[in-house]
Amino acid sequence: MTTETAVTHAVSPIQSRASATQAEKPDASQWHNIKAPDARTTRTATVSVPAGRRELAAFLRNPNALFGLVFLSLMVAAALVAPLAFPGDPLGMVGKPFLWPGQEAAFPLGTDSMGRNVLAGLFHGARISLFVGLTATALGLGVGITVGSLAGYFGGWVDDVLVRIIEIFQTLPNFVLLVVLVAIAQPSATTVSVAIAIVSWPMVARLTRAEFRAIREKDYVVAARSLGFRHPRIIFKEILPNALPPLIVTASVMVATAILMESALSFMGLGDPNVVSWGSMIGNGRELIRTAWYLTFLPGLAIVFTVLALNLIGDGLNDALNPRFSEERS
Amino acid sequence: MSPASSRLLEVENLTVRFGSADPVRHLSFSVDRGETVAVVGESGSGKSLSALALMRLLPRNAQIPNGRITFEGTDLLKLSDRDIRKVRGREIAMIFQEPMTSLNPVATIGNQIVEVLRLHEKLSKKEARARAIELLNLVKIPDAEKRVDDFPHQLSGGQRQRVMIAIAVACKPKLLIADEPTTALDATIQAQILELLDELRRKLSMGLLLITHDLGVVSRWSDRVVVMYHGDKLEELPASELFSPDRHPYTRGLAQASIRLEDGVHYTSRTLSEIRVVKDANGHNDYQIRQPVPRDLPPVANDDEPILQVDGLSVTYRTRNRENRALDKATLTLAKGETLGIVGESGSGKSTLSKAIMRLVNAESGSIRFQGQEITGLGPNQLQPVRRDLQMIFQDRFGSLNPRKSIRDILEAPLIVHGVRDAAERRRRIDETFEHVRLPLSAADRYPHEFSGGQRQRIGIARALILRPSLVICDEPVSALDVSIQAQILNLLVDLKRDLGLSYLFISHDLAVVQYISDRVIVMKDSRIIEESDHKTIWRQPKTDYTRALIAAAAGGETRSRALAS
Repeated sequence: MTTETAVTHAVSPIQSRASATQAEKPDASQWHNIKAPDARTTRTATVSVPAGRRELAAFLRNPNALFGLVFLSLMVAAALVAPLAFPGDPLGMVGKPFLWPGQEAAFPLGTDSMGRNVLAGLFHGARISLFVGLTATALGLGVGITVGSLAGYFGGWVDDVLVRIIEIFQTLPNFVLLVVLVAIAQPSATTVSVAIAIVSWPMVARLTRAEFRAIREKDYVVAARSLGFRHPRIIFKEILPNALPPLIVTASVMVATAILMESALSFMGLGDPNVVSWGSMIGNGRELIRTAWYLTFLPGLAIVFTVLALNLIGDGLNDALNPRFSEERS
Repeated sequence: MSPASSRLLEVENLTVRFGSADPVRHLSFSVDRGETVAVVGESGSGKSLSALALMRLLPRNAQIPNGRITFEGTDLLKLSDRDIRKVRGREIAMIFQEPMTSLNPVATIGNQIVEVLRLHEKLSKKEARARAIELLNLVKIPDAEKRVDDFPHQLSGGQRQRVMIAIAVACKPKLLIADEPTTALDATIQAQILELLDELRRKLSMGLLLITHDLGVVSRWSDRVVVMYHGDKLEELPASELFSPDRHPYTRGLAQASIRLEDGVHYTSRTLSEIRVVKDANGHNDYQIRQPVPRDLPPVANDDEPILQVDGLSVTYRTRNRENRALDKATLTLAKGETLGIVGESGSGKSTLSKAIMRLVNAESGSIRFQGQEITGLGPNQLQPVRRDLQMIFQDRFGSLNPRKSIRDILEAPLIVHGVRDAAERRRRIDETFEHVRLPLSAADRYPHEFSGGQRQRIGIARALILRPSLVICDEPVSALDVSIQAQILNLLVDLKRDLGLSYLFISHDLAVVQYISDRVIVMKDSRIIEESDHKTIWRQPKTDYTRALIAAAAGGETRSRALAS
């Protein structure tokens, strides 16, 4: 048995004494214990990858993330080509009403109660829904991360003041605030985005603050301070990358929530009445859900898949940015 | 009693498998009734996995391809899940390392004991409570009648471990497995807990399986020792022979690498032996012990101006409704090239002292003079040049290196911050520092999690050295490391001190380590410095009772086995 031999072999005193004397011969180098191995050896990753490429490679190796990315790209492409593929107003009446999908070749996804092309509506709706979803999230994340990291990192009175402000926003019911904001401003894609950002940043801020408070106490942050790093460097280079995982997951949920909020606003007739969005399509189709369910189902499907794609991308990003995890996948 | 029936547990040829790896291979050992057997090994030796295997508590992806675990005549590996649950807790009980997390924080300690009692025995609530109080008395919790309704956070670390022990022995198990029961505790508490375990073993005539990396604990508290390395049992020996010279080379290496207070070893007199395990041509492990050649060290320059002078330094932490004096009028000086050791138990203020000197927490009063410059009131900009000369090494509990950055990024950032603009120069400095701490250059593009504990500590040292400091504060730099690695790191620190002309402020709760590395020693208790002396005097003629108690708890490693041998 190999183990037995290994033990007897190693026990042999002559052997070990021989190796001990051998080891005591002066090393050629000036260091006495150069390259002293630790008792525990670790697997060594031999390939070194330039910064940034490793993350990308890990992301692209992840089939779920790739699926999400492809789907979202298709949606973005649809939004971009909408004016070319379907010139003219998607709200214009172009055919007979209530054509079911597949009933007439000119309208592959049918028409609604007013004879509007559903496919054109989906393409043009993608413009509004994606714009609102991404803009609102970017704004909300920007404000939320800034406020949250300042509060969490500095603590003390800065924290007190910022948390009070966050709390003011959080005590107001989200959707009511949104409705009020949109009602005050002219409803347009931009104002709706800003309004959604205003109601969604406090959650990001709270989350960021909690992460920062926990990571702030870690030894590597103390080490960074002891090395004389300045606050911005510590916040953005040391703490933020480690606080990202929950934030990325939240961000993908936020895009989804923003699309849904916009849909809800449009559904209630508070969106911009002059443009079509997935939400407004669902809103218009809701009364006909029993006779022409495809009118709500198709834009609903678009929302569901976009949200799913965003979640997959978020998870993939999170794994890719974590060196430990992305190595395990490789 | 016949010899056969005195055997409590017999492990034969046990292998634990995870996928393609076997972290425990062909392990055999036995425990008799009323006997203490210790399993010793460093991290990755498979000692904890073996213990979990006995309780059938291995993770789901683990398999036991062969082996037999006979406990009182039944093979535990053949029992159904239902039957093994009856064995757990009642026949075999286990206590873990971390008393902070192994108790449920939202239940009173009394209820946690009652729960276990009523699970295994038919007892009314009242009877169970009475038994719980009895048990708390047994593990020597003062005022057991009152404390029984306390929550875990109201108890100290040592008391929590006592409660864990009370839960473990509640059903009078025949075998108690203690997995590193005292590693997280202070030295004085450590001795008390081990004494308690030993007393309970005798009172309840339990077998005790003690799993530890601490050879001092082993030689003092156990009858027999099983030495493991990387899943292999290397040898089994009576505890009294642990430090005798004709043992397996690995055992000898462990014994030589571990520093014991009573040996009085000092870095100026000898280097620490390092164990080196090399695979030979046949793929077998070859265990080599080597003692690096002692080095000439320049004497401490006493006539120079001290590199660090701290006067009446006080720090108070304030929360909204509480004030906590974490450091009270600390005064100390440190000469160039000197190593000043600071010992004290947790909460004694030693970390606060180091952070205050590093200007990471603000002092309430007092002064810090570093290289002749008063640094107490300096703002961030004025501190920048000071930081270059004043660096810190942290205890590595996975937390001291940013997990998202490669080693090169970790080492490069301080250079960038301190204005080394030339990329080639930065690269040269990084390579040089790698050589200093003896890391292979290929390590640069890897991430912290890819390294072992000892290597991570080398990276931490590299980060501290990259700016070429003159004073390095070491905050528990070796307490999370295995003994063999501890020896390597201590040797490295001594080498660096000579080669780079460093001064150290060395903080540790481990008296033996402080004794080895320090020229002078300071003892801290309750936020104050209570004693200061040179490295010889303090161990021989301690001035305060507290220091005496600390030394008594840490030393006397061999008393029990000596008593047994005679």
